[in-house]
Amino acid sequence: MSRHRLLALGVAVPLVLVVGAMLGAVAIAPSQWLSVIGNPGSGSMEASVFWGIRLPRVVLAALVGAALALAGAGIQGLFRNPLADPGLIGVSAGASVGAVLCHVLAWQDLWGGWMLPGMAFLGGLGAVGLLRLFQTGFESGGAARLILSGIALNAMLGSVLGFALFSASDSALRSITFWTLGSCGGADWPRNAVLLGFFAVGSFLIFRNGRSLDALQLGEAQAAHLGVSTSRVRGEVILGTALLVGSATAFAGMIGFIGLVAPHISRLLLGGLHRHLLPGAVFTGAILMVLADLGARTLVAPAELAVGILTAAAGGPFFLWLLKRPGARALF
Amino acid sequence: MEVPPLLKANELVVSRGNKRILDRATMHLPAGSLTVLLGPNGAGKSTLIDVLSGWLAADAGEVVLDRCPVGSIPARERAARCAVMRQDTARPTGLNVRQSVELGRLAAGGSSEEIDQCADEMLRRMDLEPLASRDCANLSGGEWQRACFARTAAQVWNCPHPAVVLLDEPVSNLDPPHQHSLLFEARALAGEGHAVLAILHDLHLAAHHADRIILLQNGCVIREGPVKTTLHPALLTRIYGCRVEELADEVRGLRTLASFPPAR
Repeated sequence: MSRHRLLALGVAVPLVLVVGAMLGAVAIAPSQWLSVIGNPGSGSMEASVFWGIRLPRVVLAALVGAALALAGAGIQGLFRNPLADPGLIGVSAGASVGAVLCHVLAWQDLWGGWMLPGMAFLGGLGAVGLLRLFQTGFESGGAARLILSGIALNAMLGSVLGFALFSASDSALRSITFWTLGSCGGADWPRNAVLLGFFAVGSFLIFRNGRSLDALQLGEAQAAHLGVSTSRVRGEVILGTALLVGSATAFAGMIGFIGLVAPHISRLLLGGLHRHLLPGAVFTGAILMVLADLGARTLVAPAELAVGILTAAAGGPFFLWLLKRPGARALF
Repeated sequence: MEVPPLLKANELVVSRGNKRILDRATMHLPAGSLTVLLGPNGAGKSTLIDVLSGWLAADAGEVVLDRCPVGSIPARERAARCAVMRQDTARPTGLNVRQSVELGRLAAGGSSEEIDQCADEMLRRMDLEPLASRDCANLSGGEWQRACFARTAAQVWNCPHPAVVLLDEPVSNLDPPHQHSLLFEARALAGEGHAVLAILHDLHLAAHHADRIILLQNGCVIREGPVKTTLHPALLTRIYGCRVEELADEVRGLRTLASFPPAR
């Protein structure tokens, strides 16, 4: 049954992508959809909006959502903690600091655009590294410790961001505001290619440890007795998380809740085995993010909302509802 | 004829602060027998299992598993030679009983038919068939303990060579019939040629099921050997600090042990 549901989720992703790209400030009539998709080079206004503006944007949104959700699923599995989320434990803030620093130093166009996600990645990695220093292990009892260190880390990184804000030039200031609220605007294919590169490596690192993450749910020691080399798994999943969150944050800013909620939706639909949970989180994250971005650019059109506002506003109540469901009792 | 030990520990020392948790503990586990490890709370029993399994490195001394120092064996290979059932195993979120048992095959791998066959057999042997698709979070303490044993036994299922099986208080949450059936299964593992060690507190269970006994007190091995030469009421009374007496099990003509509260 899990397999069928996973398949359904996977099929839904391209559908949501296409529908998301068809809708917007300039709506494309459903009767024209097939001809727009069939003739990318037709030169019509609809075709150029679809292929040149909207599709890169929804693909960016899907990649960002997928990356955040997968990072969330990986980190929840690793810390054996349903509250772990790249936003809550400071990875997003770390990545954000890296990206903002890059802008303050005006380095964002260096190395063909790879410098920006690179620095965001290093920021994310630094945050996880700091967090690791304050975690004695990934064992039970670490939950409160993890959340508290995450809160402290978030506050510290927030003050770094505040300092950057204080000393930044006007143009850097605009980009900093952008990072903290999040947006999928300004998407283009070269950026998507960079993001896809980071996603490929990051998701490889997490997916290959899926079975080990299953075993880690029994506790770190028990997983080791089953043959998991826990330090290798920990290193790879943390590296993968930093790659995913770093690149997503570099291109779309700080976006909350996707990394927390998407893995839980996947877990509720597909169960706790990571070979279902991880791809399920990827699909769920992509769908949620495309829908959130659709809302961001249509709700107050022609103006645009920051997508981070929408994921939090829609994600919060949804998450509360999830927690109240009877099926959630076994999970939390 | 003496069977060569599958696992040998020499002069193990583990200290925490000024306290010696293990104090030059020396013991061995022969293949093909069920050894029961007895000792008061805090004697160092769980720590001994942690060191024997290679999870914890001893400050001094060595553990040799099948002629290799246990710490030098890579995790995956070690899991194929040594299965451990811990006391503190967490319940995996969102996994059912069958999936948790299948985790026992992680190191061995094999085809999905093989894994299915192994899980079927373990679920049947541990009386878990009706619970196979139950979420682990919704099990009682005893049911989860049986699932953990099933997973541990799955780890050495169809193992081509003798393995070590370490069980940390495997029956602490079980009702009497399941205590006996789990220990029968532990003995069956020994019968398949594995070296099985179980920590128990129930002297009666130890007297009935063990082939060998190791008595641990304050991190030292006080006595090690066959049941007959180790389970002396006077010795146990001294170790536990509470009255232990031998009783006759009249139905089966066996002798057993029982503890009593100290006389007032």
